[in-house]
Amino acid sequence: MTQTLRNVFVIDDDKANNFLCKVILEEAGVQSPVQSFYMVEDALKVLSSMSEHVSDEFPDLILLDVNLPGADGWDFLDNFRKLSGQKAKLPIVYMLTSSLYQEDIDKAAGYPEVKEFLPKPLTIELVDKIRQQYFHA
Amino acid sequence: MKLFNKNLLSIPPLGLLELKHEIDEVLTTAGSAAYLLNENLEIQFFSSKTKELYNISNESLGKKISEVEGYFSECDVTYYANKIFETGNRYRGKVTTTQGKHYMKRMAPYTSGERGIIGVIVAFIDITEVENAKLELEKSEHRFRDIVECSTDYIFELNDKGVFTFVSKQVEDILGYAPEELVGRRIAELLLPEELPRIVEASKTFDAHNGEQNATIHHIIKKNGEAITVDSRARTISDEHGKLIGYRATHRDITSQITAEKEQKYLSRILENKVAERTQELKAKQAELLEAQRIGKLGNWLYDCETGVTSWSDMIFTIFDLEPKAGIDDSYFDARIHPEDRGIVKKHKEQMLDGTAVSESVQYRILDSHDNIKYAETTVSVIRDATGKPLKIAGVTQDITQLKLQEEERKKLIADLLQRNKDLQQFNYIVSHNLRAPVTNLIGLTGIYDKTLKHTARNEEVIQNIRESAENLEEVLRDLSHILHIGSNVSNIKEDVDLDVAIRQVLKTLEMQIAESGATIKTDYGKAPKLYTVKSYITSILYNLISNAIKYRHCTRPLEIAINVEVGEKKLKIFFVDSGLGIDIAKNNSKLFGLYKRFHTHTDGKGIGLYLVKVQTEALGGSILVESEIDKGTTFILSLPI
Repeated sequence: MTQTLRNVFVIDDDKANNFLCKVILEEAGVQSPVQSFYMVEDALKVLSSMSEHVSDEFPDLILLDVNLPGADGWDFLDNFRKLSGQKAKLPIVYMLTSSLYQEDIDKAAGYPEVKEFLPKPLTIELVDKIRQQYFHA
Repeated sequence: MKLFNKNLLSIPPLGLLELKHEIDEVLTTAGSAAYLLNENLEIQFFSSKTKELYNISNESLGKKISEVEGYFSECDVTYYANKIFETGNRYRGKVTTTQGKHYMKRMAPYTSGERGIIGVIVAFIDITEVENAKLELEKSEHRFRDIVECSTDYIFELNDKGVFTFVSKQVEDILGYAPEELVGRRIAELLLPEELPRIVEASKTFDAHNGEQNATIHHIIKKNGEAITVDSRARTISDEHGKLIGYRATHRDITSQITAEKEQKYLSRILENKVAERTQELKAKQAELLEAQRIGKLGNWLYDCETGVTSWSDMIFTIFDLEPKAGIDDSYFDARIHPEDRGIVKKHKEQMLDGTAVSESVQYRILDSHDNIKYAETTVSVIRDATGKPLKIAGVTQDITQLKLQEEERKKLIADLLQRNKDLQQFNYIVSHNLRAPVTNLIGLTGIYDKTLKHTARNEEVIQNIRESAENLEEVLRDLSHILHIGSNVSNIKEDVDLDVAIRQVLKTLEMQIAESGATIKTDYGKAPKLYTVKSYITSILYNLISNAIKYRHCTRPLEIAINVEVGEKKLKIFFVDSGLGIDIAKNNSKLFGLYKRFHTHTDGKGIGLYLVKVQTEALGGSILVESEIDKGTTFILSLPI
């Protein structure tokens, strides 16, 4: 709760979802840019380049889908863990997915990086809730 | 004997002695011996054959006869010679020598006209042959008399109901019944009730060939109520058609012969019968056991720890597919055990002997003479003495191939079902995810649509996204209905499909893409058979596999696709070999054929092609395998039943 929520990564191959997230986050008052990634590999590439030096651009929040072509959400988490040791700050990861499977929910619980498993669609109320829990208003 | 007539005996001594050579020759020819004694009983002459009766020689001449050793026991020549001098009588008697020859001994006075008795002639006539013939005659006479006197048999005939139809006359002497008293009566009336079942049983055991019955010994009741023991022998009487019409039999009265020894024999015969019966039963049991072993594919064996000898039942050889033969040991069978399993079997035997075995049974594989794998289970039991030392090892070995195959089949079935269940769960998961995704989008998008400001750029984008989400939804629903349709009523729409024609048609459809990609396609259909299958599925499978190969080609390497057909006994294999991008199989194998799974994002796949290939292949009773190496290429192997 030491900072303002800004700089969010959305990782999802669903174009409509990414547009929706961007609009909702902006409406909820997130200042800095929302970056969308259609592929896990692209997001990881950006993150690892950031981790080499402390940067304000480093995301505070990642909204991650489960089902993606190629590497999926779980692959992202496995690789993200490897990066975490080199970083100054840890982004909060929320899994944002249309999956309502208990198996996925249980699997997510095995990743300490994952704060919560959120059902789509993202709403302003959900963003407010996240902000209240982890960030300064 | 003419030698001893009066004329000869009256020849004066000198004359007799003068003729001694001639006399000797005549005597010898006649098989007789003789000697002459003077009044002092001194030997004056002896014929050659006398040597057979006395230890006599020329030195004996002039000696007293009593001084010469005789070869026979009873013969007091001296006594009778003295009598002859006293009385002038002749004497005769029989002599048997120690060598078993019989002689008629005759002693007569030797007289001289004026001097009266001057000597004694002792003659021996060989009567051995006569004596022997007489003895022989006496013997046979005795035997004949015995036979006649001991005639103990009577003959009788029975009809098939056991009623006397004829009885010989001797029956009257033996049983006291006149033959006519018995004719018309049942033989059972003369038998002891307790013996009846045994006799009836024996009467059934006629030799099928000659109708002879084994001898039976039983009692029969005489007219006076006494029982005698008879040795009964019978044979069947049949009419010209071979139909049994009665029995002909003899009864011999052996009552007097039934001594202790006979009784013993009788008992031992009964005993023998019992033993034979038991042997028969045992044989039957053994036959049952063998049959049970055959049906159960079960053999047994016994190892004797002391002698080191093992015996095996026939079924063991059958299980191991080996010829039964002599002079073999366990190694004969060991050679048949699957090389990988020999250690297990050996270890099990050792553990059974030292008592550390966990189970009495061990399962292993056998390679038969055609190298086919059979499964066997051996259960072992160690028989020990009081100190725990093993005496024998008994084992039962069963061919459990059938069981094993069923078990394998069951396992495979379960695995298939589990896989099917997993596939369905996955399908369910994906479908719900992909159905929910556009729906949640629609919910979210309609939420951010600004009704007050209709024509903003953002509203335009919202509308655009709503449309795309709706299209997505529609597409998922269409895929779904397509997928759900596969596998239903497959058998109704099967037809003969020429595989080479089907492949050519797909290549024709993909002509444009092939030309654009610059791919070279080599096909080798071999003897591609006609398939009885669902044409649309085959076309769809071929289309998806070939178009995937084009879609996921390497960006720099020219694409080569080879399609080869291999025809097996029950299966047809089609190999699709490409030189494309390749897939990381180790990482993605489980997802490769999954619905809405994509591995490359540079092209517009939606992750349904391979899923369809898999579902359609399985609906046709086939299977699909993939081999791949990143940056080298991918091979899909499609197996279809013929």
